[in-house]
Amino acid sequence: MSGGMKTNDQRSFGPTLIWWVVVSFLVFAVVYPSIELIINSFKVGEGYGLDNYITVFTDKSIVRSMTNSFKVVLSSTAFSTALGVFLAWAVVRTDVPGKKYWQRLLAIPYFIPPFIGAIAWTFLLGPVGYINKAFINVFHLNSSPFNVYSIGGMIFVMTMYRYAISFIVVLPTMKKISASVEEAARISGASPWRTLRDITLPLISPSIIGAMLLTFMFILADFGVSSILGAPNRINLMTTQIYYLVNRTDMANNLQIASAYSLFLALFGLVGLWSYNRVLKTNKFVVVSGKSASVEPTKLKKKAKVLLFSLLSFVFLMSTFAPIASTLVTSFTKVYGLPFAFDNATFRNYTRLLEIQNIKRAFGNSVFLSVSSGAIITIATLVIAYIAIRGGVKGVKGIRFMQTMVTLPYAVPGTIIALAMILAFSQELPLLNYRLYNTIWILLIAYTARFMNLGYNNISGAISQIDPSLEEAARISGATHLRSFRDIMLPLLKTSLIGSFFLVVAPTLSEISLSALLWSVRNETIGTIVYSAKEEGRILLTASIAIVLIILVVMINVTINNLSRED
Amino acid sequence: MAKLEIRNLLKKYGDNPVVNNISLDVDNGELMTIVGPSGCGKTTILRMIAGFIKPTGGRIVLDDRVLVDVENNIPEVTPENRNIGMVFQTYAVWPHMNVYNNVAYPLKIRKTDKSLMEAEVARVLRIVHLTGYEKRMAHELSGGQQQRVALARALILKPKLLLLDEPLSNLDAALREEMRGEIKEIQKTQNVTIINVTHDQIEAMTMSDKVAVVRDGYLEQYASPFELYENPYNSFVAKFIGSANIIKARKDPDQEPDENGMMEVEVSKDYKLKVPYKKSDKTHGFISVRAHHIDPEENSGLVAKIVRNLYQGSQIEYYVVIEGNGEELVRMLMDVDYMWEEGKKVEVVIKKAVWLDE
Repeated sequence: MSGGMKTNDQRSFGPTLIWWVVVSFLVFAVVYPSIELIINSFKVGEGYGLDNYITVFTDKSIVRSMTNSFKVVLSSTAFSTALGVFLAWAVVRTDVPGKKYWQRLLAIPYFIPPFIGAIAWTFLLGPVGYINKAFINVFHLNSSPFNVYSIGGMIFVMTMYRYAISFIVVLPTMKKISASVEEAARISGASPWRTLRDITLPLISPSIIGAMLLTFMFILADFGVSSILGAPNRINLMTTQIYYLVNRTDMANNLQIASAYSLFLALFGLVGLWSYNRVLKTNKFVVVSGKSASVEPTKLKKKAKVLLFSLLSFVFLMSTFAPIASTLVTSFTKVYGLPFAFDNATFRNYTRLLEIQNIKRAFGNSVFLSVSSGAIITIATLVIAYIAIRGGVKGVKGIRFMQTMVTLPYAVPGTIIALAMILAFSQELPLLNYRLYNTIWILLIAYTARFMNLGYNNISGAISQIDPSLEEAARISGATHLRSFRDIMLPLLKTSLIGSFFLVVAPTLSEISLSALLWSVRNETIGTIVYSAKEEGRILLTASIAIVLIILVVMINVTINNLSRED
Repeated sequence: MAKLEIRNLLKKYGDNPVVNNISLDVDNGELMTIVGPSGCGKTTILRMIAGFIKPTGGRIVLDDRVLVDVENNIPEVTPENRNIGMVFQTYAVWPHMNVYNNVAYPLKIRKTDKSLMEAEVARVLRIVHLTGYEKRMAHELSGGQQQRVALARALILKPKLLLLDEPLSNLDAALREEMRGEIKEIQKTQNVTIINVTHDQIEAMTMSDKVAVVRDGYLEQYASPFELYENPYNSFVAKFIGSANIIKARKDPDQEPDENGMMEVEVSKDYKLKVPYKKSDKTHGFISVRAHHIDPEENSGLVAKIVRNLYQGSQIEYYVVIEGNGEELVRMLMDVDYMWEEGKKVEVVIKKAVWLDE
């Protein structure tokens, strides 16, 4: 473009303004609380020191939460990844019957909020759970054989939900491997096993490692499952220990010790993220694409086929069908613990949802929070991602800073974000004399900061796929920068934008780890009332709320799925 | 060098046959090309020879070794035990190995001594002109170079049989020309029998000793390029190889060959010509006529109406309709001396033609 041409870039005042609003928001909602968190971790009484850190590594219960976390996170990550990769292989590369259906059915746990899954499992494996009772009846036992409120229970439930991450990540890679790279090895003289070792595994290993790191980060950040299954027997993981410390107002320096512990926990999340990005970047193993014969599935012997089919059915039964069915049944029962029969059936648990004030309010709050954070994130990330990718807008600085600040809150466990928010916003804001803590706005700020990454990744992926020449053609036809954005980019990005919105709405609707620390009376969310209903032993209500939430979340994910298929 | 024997090869998916009772022999050191439109089953044949697809019926024998024999229940030899070289259409250069490891892999499988392996890799890389590229990764190579890596990997075991699955289709025109020459060169210097699959009839004609024309899973004709061009078996082969004109014609089914071994056919009411004698009981059929075998001649009796003329500099391509022979367009190539307007009627003769029953 010639320098003399008037391109009306001066009119980019709007985008520049939005850019700086977003950057200021990130400074306010991410940078400032992070600094508060770091300062607090060194605060000892009136002065500063390392005492909080020493407490973290010497206090018995804190150290026990570390070893608990170590056990749960490492084993669930290993089991989830192994199960997910195996299932992906089975439904892509073997001739097990119903492959196409399994590919969808086995992905369902990805969309179910894990803490809902944990509650569902208490209906099955709790002391009076359906499976435990069945075992007692069948084998004439004196006590329930399974206890879901244990480390083992956590590992089991997490594996049943988190295997879906590696399943979803590895599945497309399995499909993409072109048959000819394997055939080339066979014709070179390699046996099927040798081909698997020398060719197939090295080619999919970056994808497996990536999936494993993602699983690790999700499980490390988990609050819902570990709090629901850990609370009855006081088994704390790192996240729940921080939550516990924050609520221990009787303990001196509790927030400061929690801060120190949070920074230690954040370290793992950041290392996970850093490794994940490295795997993505160094992964140059683009499997040769282009026209090639589709992979011939491994022919299984009849026995193996039956075995594999039963295994897939078992995983589906355990991860999806049984928990949902038990929740559904529970939600229609009059008295929990009695067998489900006609005279024990009722709709009461659903009608009561509309009668109880704080439950009604919680649904209203969660819908408000997820819709508004969805809308804010969609619009804000559209502008900043566009500017970051295309450039060329005057007065824009700090692109790298912005990207880091968008990623950071999603990389570390939500409990840490919540604690940082408490530290930053429990005093009145300077100049405004307004206290954010105990209002719904602190939840909105926390949600927006934490989930901005989802919208940003989605929209920047979509923008970078649109060739710049499309807009340049509009510019050369006489459109201003803003006009070409409106006429070309917006229509092309429409489905991605709607997708971004729902991508944020789905997890915020069932959010628990931020809400657990930031809610207050009148500012409940669906997650927190499920949680407190469970704590208070209102089992039947928990079940009906869980069912409503599952229906909402599944509906949203079906919408997202249909959108991405339209593209 | 090896002799390949294919007998009654059959492949069905469900009830749907994609390769239909094909039998053919490839002699020692020959370069045989399987050619046909896409979806005709040619790649399926090649993949059955390699062992990636199990035939529904038939037999494949390489020299004296039975690779597969469905009817006699002889256990199929797995691909890794066939000792065949193969170049894939997508090259299939392993992206996680460098050129050296890609090429050396077949030797590594066979636990070859390291110094011998190095010497062998150097030898094949010299053949494909890639000496010095040992350390490069797949993504650092151009399409043509990846192709050479695939070729080197296929050659390193000194296979007696080399399979090429549309190896040139992803290359640009100049590179294709060059590789064609190099493959011919390899055939001669490496003493290897080559089976090539392509949909490009020019590639088939220029490279091959023998060509198998396949349509819808059937072998239409198996012959040398010269024979295919001069004496196509049916109108499909005539059109596919060198896009001949197929003109309706009739003849007396009872006629005997004349002293030159010719017979008479009628193209229109006023025009008859002699073509090589073929035993056939048909009255109605076709003749295949090459575009440059039609010449202008006054008072010949065969009237052609010019529908379109395409001036090409050295010659002119005309599309004409033959009077009294339907509305089919017939293509002819003329010297620039003959410049005719569209719509003009001219008289022509057919110098050379072949009778086709169908």
